[in-house]
Amino acid sequence: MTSRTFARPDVLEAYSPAMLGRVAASRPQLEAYRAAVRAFNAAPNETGVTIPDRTEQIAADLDWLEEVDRQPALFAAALRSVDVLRWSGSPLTFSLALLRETWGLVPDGRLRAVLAQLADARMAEMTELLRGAGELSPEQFAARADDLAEAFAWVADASVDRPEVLETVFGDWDAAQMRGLLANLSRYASASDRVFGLRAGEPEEVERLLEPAARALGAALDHGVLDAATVAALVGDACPAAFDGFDDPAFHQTQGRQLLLGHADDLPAEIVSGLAHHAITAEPVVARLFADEVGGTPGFHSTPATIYLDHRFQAALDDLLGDARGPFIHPATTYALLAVDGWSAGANEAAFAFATDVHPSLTYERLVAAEGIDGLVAQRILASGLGQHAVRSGDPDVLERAATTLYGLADAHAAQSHGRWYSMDDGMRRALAMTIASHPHALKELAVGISRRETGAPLLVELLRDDAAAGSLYQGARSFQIDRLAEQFAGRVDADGTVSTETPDMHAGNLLADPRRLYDTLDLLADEAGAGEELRGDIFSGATNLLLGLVPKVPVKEVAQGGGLLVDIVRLESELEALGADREERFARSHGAELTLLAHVHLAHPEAIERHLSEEQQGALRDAMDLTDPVAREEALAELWQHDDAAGADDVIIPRDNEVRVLIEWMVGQAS
Amino acid sequence: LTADGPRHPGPRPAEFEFPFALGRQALAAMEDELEELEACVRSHDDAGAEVCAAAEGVSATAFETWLSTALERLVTARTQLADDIEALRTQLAVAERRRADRQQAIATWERRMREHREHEVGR
Repeated sequence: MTSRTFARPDVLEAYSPAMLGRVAASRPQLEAYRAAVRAFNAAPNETGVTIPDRTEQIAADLDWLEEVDRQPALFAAALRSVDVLRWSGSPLTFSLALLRETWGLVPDGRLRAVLAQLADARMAEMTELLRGAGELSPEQFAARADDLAEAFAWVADASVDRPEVLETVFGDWDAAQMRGLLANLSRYASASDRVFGLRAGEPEEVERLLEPAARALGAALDHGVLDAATVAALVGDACPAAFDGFDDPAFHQTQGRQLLLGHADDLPAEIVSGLAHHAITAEPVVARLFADEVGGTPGFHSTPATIYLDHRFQAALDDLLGDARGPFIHPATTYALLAVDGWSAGANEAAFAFATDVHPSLTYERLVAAEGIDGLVAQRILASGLGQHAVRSGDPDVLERAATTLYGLADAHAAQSHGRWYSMDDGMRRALAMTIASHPHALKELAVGISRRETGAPLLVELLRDDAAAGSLYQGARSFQIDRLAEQFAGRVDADGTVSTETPDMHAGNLLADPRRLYDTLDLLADEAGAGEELRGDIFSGATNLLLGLVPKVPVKEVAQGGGLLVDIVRLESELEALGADREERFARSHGAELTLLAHVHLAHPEAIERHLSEEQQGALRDAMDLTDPVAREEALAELWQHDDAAGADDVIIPRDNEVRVLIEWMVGQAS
Repeated sequence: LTADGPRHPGPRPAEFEFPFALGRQALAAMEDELEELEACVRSHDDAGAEVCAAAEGVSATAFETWLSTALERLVTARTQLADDIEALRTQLAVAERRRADRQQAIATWERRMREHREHEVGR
């Protein structure tokens, strides 16, 4: 903190009366001047000369000077009040009110820094008061509500110009202090005579404390003085802690949350989502309330919506759901919305936690059946949230949970839509594809399911109806394949770089994710369906053509069973036409895999490269790998990776009799 | 002077009309006000410096700035007042000269009138 100013109130106190007296002493002379000028100007005068009357201007200047002259005495009074209150423990309000009054006297705010520094002298006391607020009993907390409100207001106001105030006040709180404060705030927000025997928690009284509290805490969160995730978690802890032991804790929890959420404009999204998170973790209680109270009690009906949705969420909800929204909103919907619209990482986390803790079919039923939300919207909000979260996290456990949930959700969707898979939203297709492709286990499971012609097959076909989803699956599968090949290669390289092609252990499970294997499996299904060869597409032409090749191959028997796909022939033809021109230009996929594996060997097994390539070849390989443009890099690698008979006399190549090349080609050939 | 003697000098010039006394009073009041303003500024300068000397940090600077702004306004008023005083002094001097000229014209008129009357009586 900067040094205190005006540390000697006696000097300040001496200044103001003396200077005000000096100004006052000037007034009679000013009146004499005014009278003399007016008398002269009023007298007969054939010259027409008059004297300018400066009286009003000088009087205004003296008024201004008097304002300045008053300040030091006011500062001195504030300063002395600080000293008095420091020892007496008197309420904060007197001093703060005086400071505010003083502040208000400054017309242009140039003395705000002076006043702010005076207020700094109060900071230790305010910090102490706020920090100890969590330890107060409900009665004590309510009794000091005015002091707390003043302190919060001061912190919030001061932080506008001086964010460092937040660090001073909130900088070193521990979790227990913050949890206690939040619990007391929540408790105070819902205080009632019935429960606490306190004053009745009238809305305006509650507002008077919660408004500055939300502003101050919001400012501290915005400036990173308080950690948003921690506070959000503490809010979740604080709500039940605040209402332990009361007759209907869930009711009061919801009341507290409702009132706090009423200030959501002042709070960062993290804290709001923290509140919502708690609401969901208390799901059984909330669900019981819905069942027992909400459904059967007229007048209470609108409460659930207001509990979980402040108006920002509500606006987003209205935009998204339109007329599809039911009579009230389940928290799951809020979660999914939070996740979809990217309110915060915390909200997304909460959405994920909720959706994966509840059986997908139950979630789906809540959204669609219980709340009347359109099925497409429901699956979109859930699947997008889950898919985005899972892919962003990159955590294998999260991916696995997401995949499991999404499968369940897909099944629930299929059941709800009576097997009409074509009604699946593209957002869900992409979410599923991203999740599956990011998780080797899910990818393998899907491939195994396809090979056994289990439920995975229609799901894969369904996902491939969307280009982006097909692309995700294809890239994931290829990446998986390369990873497996790289593992296999590592098993074939000795410490000295020697490679071996003898008795390779290429377990079929390692190759199940090969897109061609998927294709082959589906090709059989296509044969069964009697799909024409001309609609099967080119296996080597990438994700889009994989899609185009697969989509028409609809098992007719599934259609006959009530499921199946609608084949959009027009779309297929137009896309085939658009993509047909450059299909010949692309590398064969097996060739691309070889180059990728070559790059992997270069990076992971330099000893093998040194042993089996000449210095010239190694230099060419390094040059190729140094290229930053991926296309140029792949072209350079392809130049190096040529057949003997295709290369020019001066070309540097890796010939077919090279052991590294032999091994790579052999492995990729096996995989294909 | 004509063949018929001194001619009638015409109407008597009016007395010069100017509030000399009030002008001098105003001048004195303006000079007193000037001194008052100077004294006020001086005392505030001294006392403000004492306050600021007892203070530290940015808030002292802020107070000093605010005070000097207020005093600058008084100094501006003082400068204007000083200009007013100078202008009034000039006007008073001009008026004095014009009054003297007028008195001279009146004396001349009275002499000519006297001569004219004496000639009329002699006839």
